[in-house]
Amino acid sequence: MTTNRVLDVRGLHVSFRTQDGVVQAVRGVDLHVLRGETLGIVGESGSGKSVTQMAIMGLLPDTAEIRADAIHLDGNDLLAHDAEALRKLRGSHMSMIFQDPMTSLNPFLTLGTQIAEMLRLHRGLRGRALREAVVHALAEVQIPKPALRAEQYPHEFSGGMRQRAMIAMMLAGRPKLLIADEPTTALDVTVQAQILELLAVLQRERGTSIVLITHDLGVVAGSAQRVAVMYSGRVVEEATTEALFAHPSHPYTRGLLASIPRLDHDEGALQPIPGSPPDLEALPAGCPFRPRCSHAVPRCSEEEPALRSLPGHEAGHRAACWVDLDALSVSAVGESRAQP
Amino acid sequence: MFLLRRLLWMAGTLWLVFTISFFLMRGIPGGPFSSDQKTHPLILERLERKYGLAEPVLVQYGRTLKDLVLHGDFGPSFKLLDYSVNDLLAQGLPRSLALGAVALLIALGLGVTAGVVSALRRGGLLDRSLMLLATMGIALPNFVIASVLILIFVIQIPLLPAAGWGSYRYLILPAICLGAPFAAYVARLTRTGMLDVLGQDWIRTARAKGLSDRRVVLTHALRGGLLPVASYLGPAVAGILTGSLVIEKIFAIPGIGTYFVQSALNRDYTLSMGCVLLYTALVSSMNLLVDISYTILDPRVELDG
Repeated sequence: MTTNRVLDVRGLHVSFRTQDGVVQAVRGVDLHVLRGETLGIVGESGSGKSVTQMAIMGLLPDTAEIRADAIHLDGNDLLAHDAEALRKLRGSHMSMIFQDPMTSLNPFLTLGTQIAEMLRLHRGLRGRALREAVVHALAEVQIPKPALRAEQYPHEFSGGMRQRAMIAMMLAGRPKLLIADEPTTALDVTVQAQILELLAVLQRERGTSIVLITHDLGVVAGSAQRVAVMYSGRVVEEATTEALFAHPSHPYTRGLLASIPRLDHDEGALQPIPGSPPDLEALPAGCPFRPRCSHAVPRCSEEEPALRSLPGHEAGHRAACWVDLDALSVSAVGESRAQP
Repeated sequence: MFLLRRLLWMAGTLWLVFTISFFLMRGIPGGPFSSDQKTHPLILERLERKYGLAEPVLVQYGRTLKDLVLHGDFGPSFKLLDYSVNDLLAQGLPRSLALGAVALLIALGLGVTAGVVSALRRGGLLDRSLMLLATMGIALPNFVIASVLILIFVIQIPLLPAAGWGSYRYLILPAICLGAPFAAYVARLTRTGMLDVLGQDWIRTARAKGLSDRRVVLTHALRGGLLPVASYLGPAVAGILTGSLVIEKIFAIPGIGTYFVQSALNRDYTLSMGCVLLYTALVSSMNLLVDISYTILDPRVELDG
């Protein structure tokens, strides 16, 4: 592990015991985030992208069983931390903002109170200094009239303003890592862009590393330096954002890219990925994407491919697929999918 | 504005209750001075003249209302000689209020604590035993609880007096009996409210901030979790007030409840009118207080209507 990594996760497994059986939500995930960079995590609902981050934060319910080879955060070995020690890292070393700023802020407390709680806990501020820091925190996320706004309750804020306040609150403890779980999904498009821009500005100023969880490849393209694509509890492709969009090397990634509309060239109808994600309680043998994959070979139903470096690609570009997609032309993907 | 409107409503309610009770009491057969023994017609006539019962009912109604509104005077008690109703109420009210207040404190203190503990230990042994106890508390009538408590704390272990009025020790048993069913109900409400709030997104946010579990529960969950309890406070106070009729009788406490029962049995028109109006005033002002407390608890609620 190099010290340049703020977060380094290896071999993370998370499963939930339910009445119907064991759900394997995360199955051996390796992730790392460099200092000051934004890592995008893309995947559909149930791919394990949120659960992975909640596991790192220690926010999963007691029914979750977490196993990992290593989880390091800024020099702290999280696996060696008990619940109480982990709690102390939350807010101060790692923070998280959530999808819905409507429900994620406490409706019974003023925003000033909710932000002050962070400053008191993690920076030991009291009295006048505390009040000033609250106003300053709101001003930093470009909320107009911060002194007045600090006295107001969440229901008096618009959605975008709430997410700004949320960001102010979660960055108040000066964490090294900010996990943003679909931070713009509940907002309208213009506000989305403003929030992403704000995150980028704050990141430049403070050198905070960000994990940006989203299902929107457009958000990733604009904000992340590197991307990990998750499918059914595993990372199936990992690359710099540029390389991922230029040379997607997993059929699932290609499918995702083919399913978003593009303005620059007319490709006719959008290509949806056929089928639906597998049942995490009863995963098929072999590659979990195989039932939906048009390139599947016999080996795919026998053995699950591991994430491996791709020869001929830039270093760090890894994918979990038995098939060498470079041997097939991109148009072949479209053709083969056109068949029933 | 809100307060003014509510106070006007309260005055209207009191007038309506006054009117209905006035005519109902006079409508039922028998009067304050009818008894098993034959009273001489002349004596009866003089008694009725003295207490103003000889006049037409509407005249009596007007006079009683005028005395009440202008002088705050309920008149003399018909049965307890030489006592005015105002004296009796002034004597009884502090006792009943003390009893009711302690019972309410017990109901809230025990109920909220048990509810929070249950919610935090959801599904555990403690949760299940507390909720079993709560169900029993709701199901058992308070005179049964009273008998059991007297049996234990007066007869088996002579710690407390069985009945009467004196020091605070006379208050303990009746207040427990009066508060127990409400404590049980408050416990259930608190548990449900807390479980609801603990599942909210903002609780996850609070945990993500690195707050201790205690702080998450006390500052972030409790307030929302207590909203159902706050809305139950109105009915609870009314219930405790009416429940005190029975409890005061059982424990022989000379409070409003005892006067209420006596005056109704005795056809003591003035005293029972005093009790009825006092209860009405208490219940409606409690409801007003509850509505105001709601706005303090939940900033999203505004007072109007």
